[in-house]
Amino acid sequence: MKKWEDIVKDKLEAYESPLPEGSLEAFLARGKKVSAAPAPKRVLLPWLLIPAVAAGLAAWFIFRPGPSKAPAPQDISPRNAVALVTDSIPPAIPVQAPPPIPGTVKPKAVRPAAAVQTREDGHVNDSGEETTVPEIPEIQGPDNPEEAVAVIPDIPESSPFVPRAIVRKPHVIKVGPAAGIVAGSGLLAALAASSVKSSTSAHNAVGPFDSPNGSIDFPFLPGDALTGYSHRFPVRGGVSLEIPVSERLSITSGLDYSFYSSTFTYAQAGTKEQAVHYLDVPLRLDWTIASNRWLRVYAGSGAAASFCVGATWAGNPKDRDGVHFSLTGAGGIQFNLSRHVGLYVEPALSWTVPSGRQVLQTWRSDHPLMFSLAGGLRIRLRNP
Amino acid sequence: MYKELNEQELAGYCCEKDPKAEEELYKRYAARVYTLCRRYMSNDDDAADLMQDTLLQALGKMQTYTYRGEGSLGAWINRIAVNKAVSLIKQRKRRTLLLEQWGRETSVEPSPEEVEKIPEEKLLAWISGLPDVRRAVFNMYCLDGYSHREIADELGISEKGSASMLTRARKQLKREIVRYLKEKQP
Repeated sequence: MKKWEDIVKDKLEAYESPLPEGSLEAFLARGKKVSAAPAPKRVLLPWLLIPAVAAGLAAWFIFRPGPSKAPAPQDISPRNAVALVTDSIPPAIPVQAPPPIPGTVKPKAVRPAAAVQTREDGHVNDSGEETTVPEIPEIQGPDNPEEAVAVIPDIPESSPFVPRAIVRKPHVIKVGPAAGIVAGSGLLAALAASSVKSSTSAHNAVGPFDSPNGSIDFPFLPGDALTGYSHRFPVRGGVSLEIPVSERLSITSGLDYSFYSSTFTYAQAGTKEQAVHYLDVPLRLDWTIASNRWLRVYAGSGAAASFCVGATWAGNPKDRDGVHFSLTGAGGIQFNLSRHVGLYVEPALSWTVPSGRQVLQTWRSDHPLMFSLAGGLRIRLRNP
Repeated sequence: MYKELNEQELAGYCCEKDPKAEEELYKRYAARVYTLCRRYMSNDDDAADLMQDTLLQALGKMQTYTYRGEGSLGAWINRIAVNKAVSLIKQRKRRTLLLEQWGRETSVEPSPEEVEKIPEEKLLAWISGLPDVRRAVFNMYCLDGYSHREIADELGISEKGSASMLTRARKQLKREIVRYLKEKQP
């Protein structure tokens, strides 16, 4: 008896899915691109060169001069190194300088300066006999002797006294784009925070001082006493952009709107409402914990800058309190509406960096370390 | 004229880079290949990309195709698609969330007649909703005839792991089928 998966197999084998619109045109266009790419031309000459070079090497090995006496271990200085090399040249082989070709550029100096001196001084071998160094043919040097470059010829590797050059491989530190962006953003944020901290702003805001020791000045009305206050839980939402860096890593930024509402109660004036509006620009590195077609669970950390864009006190406009910087850690769930768009719900923990200046009294000033819940639309810019 | 060509002749014309033959190849096999790709991929966009890449690769390597009878060209193209899909899944290696209900395991086996009535689009949606590796194992074992050993070699998992993934995939699909049939009952 057939199993249910056999039925599934039979059904899907025979099934022809409706093709996406424009797929044939896209296929033909891609096919043209592939076939338009010029095929690599095969040239016969390189293939003929291989056997020619092999034959040349074979002829050289067969007909090359016999091995010369190995140089005795000696103090290897550049001058003696030249002497060693010149000693190995058998005097029977005539060496003629190539005739200068008229109109050609004279090559840079190849003649080692030490060789000249050695030739003049002569050389005494181990047996004590004075030998003359065979003449080195003149090589056309540059017109300007100062341009001559002293060249030390290759030192034979067989000598045990020749120290090998110490080769240190350069350390290559690869910084991926994600690390670069995060580090650069962190640096920018630190610079901005330090610049904001040092600036003095004239605010008329009746709010607390955001000082590291935690002292807060309450808003007051002349001739009245503040009897109580309460802050409502801030509301945040916005549009988020996700830039995938790799399969699981992505950089999240965007624009959020935060609303901070507070009520202050006075003995005589009654209750006064304060409403403060912020635009937040977060920058975060997120890690996808798990995902499927419809859902994505992630966590990340980063920083955010909150710009106060509006404040009202009892319905009247009030001075804004500038920029706040915070460090954030967030986790969230994203519901994928399509490949590039999703809705997210994101609880986050943030710590507002003390700015040392006067700020409005809000939920944030009372709770520098605060929990918030954000939601909104997320746009994924591209696939990893 | 190209519609009457058999597979061997069509492959020959494709080797000569005949545009009409390439178009005919697409028209004959794209839909089936797309279905196969939708089985292996988690979304239709990835499946469409995979289908295009498969057919382009088939055209590029047509000179390596050997005619082995009617249907061999389709099977050869399907094999390319499966290989590309598996390598994509291996590359991604994403752990995916399981959208499964935590409840009592259903012991009801759907009957072949009941499964026959399920639309193909539903089946494709359920299969593509499986986690990546589970989906690949189910497709390769149940639908494409691979053995657990071959699946283990391709995906870089153990044979036991392949068998375990297959069991879970079957359970998940069975649950979807039973739930669908219950909802459809009058």
